[in-house]
Amino acid sequence: MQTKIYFITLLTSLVGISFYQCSSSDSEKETPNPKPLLDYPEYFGNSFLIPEDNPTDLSRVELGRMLFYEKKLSGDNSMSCASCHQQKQAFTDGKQFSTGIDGIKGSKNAMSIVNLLWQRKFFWNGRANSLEEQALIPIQDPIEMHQSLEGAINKLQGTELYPAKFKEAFGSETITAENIAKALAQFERTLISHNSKYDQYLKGTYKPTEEELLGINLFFTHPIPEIGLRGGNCGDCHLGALTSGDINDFQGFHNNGLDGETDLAPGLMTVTQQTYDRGKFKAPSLRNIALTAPYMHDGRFQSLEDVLEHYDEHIIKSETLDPLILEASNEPIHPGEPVKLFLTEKEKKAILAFLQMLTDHEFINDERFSNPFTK
Amino acid sequence: MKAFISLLLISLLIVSCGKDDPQVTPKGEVKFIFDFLMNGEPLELNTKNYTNANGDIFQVNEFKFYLSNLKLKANEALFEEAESYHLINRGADSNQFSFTVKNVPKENYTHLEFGIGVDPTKNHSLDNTGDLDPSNNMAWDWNTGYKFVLLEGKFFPPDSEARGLIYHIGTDENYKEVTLALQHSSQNAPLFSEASTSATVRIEVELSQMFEAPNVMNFADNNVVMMGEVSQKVVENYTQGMLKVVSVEVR
Repeated sequence: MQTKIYFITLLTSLVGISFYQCSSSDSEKETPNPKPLLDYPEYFGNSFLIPEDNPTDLSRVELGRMLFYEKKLSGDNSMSCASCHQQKQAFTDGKQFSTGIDGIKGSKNAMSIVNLLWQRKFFWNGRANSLEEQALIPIQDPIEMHQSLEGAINKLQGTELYPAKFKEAFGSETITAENIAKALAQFERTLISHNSKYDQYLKGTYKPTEEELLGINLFFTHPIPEIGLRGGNCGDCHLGALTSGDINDFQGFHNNGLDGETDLAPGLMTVTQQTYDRGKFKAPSLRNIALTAPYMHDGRFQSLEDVLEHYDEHIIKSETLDPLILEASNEPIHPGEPVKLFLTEKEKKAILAFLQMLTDHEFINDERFSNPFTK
Repeated sequence: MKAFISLLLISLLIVSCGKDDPQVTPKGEVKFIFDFLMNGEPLELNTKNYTNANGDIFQVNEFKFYLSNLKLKANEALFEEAESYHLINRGADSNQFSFTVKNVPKENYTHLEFGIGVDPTKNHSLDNTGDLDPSNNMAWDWNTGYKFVLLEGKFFPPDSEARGLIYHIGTDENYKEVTLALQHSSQNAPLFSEASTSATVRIEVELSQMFEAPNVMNFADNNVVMMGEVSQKVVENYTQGMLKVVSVEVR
């Protein structure tokens, strides 16, 4: 009997050890998957990095949500992040350029906040390398929220609400800029959209119409006229189910033919100082694109129809124009000819039908992402 | 009884954690380093004009390829890496790319074998993890599968404005295996010595070979190559001499 107990105890402890050993060696390979806060389908992949010093945690996400909707983070307490990133418009504001607290307009279109967990460069010109880095910039920008970090911390510290919330999330009532950024980043990482019609199609619960199916195929196809392969050439920059850019270095930044040599905006060149990056901007995710007009880094196009017309026949050549746009056409092209896709009306309508499929009503109505102060 | 229990427990441990058990064969790690070259010089992206064997002038903006199903071969031993898919990417900041394979049984390996591209089983499965993630811009679509080798840049024709230079090579029939001899300073020395625990295999990637031998590519006709017959010629080129083992170091 004694032997038996000894055996069982030993067995249990050794099994425990062996399990422990296995799981600890496996964890080197796998990215921790802290569901359900970060809830996403398998086809989004696991190519994301969560900073080691900011592991996903409910109390931080909840604090981040408050801060996202907190007007005290602006100089005159009139604006929050959510002023320009409104949930109903997939976290954009519907304007070409947003106006900051001092009545000054910016020069870039407010970007949609969606599926940023899979992104590695932020802003249209890629000047931030993490959400933690990104989060503090609009707060301090004189033409945006125009609030010094010191001032923001003082205001939050003086409230009844925040010291306790920071203690719960970070273990200390003393508020720091670093922890403001960490909390905001955590909330933003939970803004995951994965229940559009297109997702339902990928999950096998929605049967697309013939037009939608044609749109999907055209979207993801680079045209090769020699073999009769027709394509809309969108998927060369808007990759896979996420419809966002290449995650390696700045390979997800492109010059998409908006302007000619003389009035090309600097774009990525501001960050890299390289002339070959002039006019390149981030290829954003197209998730909920039907809700985020106007379009492009400078909001120059009012509608998706305008966007499609641009890519179909108004590409302007310049030295840094993306080679995959320069060399894309559904008809044989000859050197020196203008760049045109030659899409038919039917094909354009099909691509638009696909873009409409990317709208996720659950995402824009999700309580977890809404203003926590207006309940 | 105690001996029996111990035996049972040890076997249990081996079953649950067999791959980590150090007692089977001594194991080491092998680091593979890739140096990207054009005409023997370190590859420069975006700025440098190169001339191919046909005399065409061009620039490279991006270059990456899949190396998969890596095997190390010895006379009587074979090591096959599990889930072996590596995106060899000439990144923006470095002309060198490396990855390390761990838990390699120490054997007298003489050859290295791998596929260039993604094998037909994985090519259409839309496996989103790791290096096969579509966010690496190497997936065409669910039907066509992955781009195996991607080279993008610019071609400057003598008599007209710049064109795009786009070589996207893929499709199942273009998945090819390549075998390279692991050359040592002393011929046929083992990849691992008894005392060593790690080896470094240095591989040169000579991009000019894509356009040169045996098929000289003419960019005026073929500045864009995606699928089709021409792609097979490029495959013939890059499977013969683009990749060379230049040194093997044992530590």
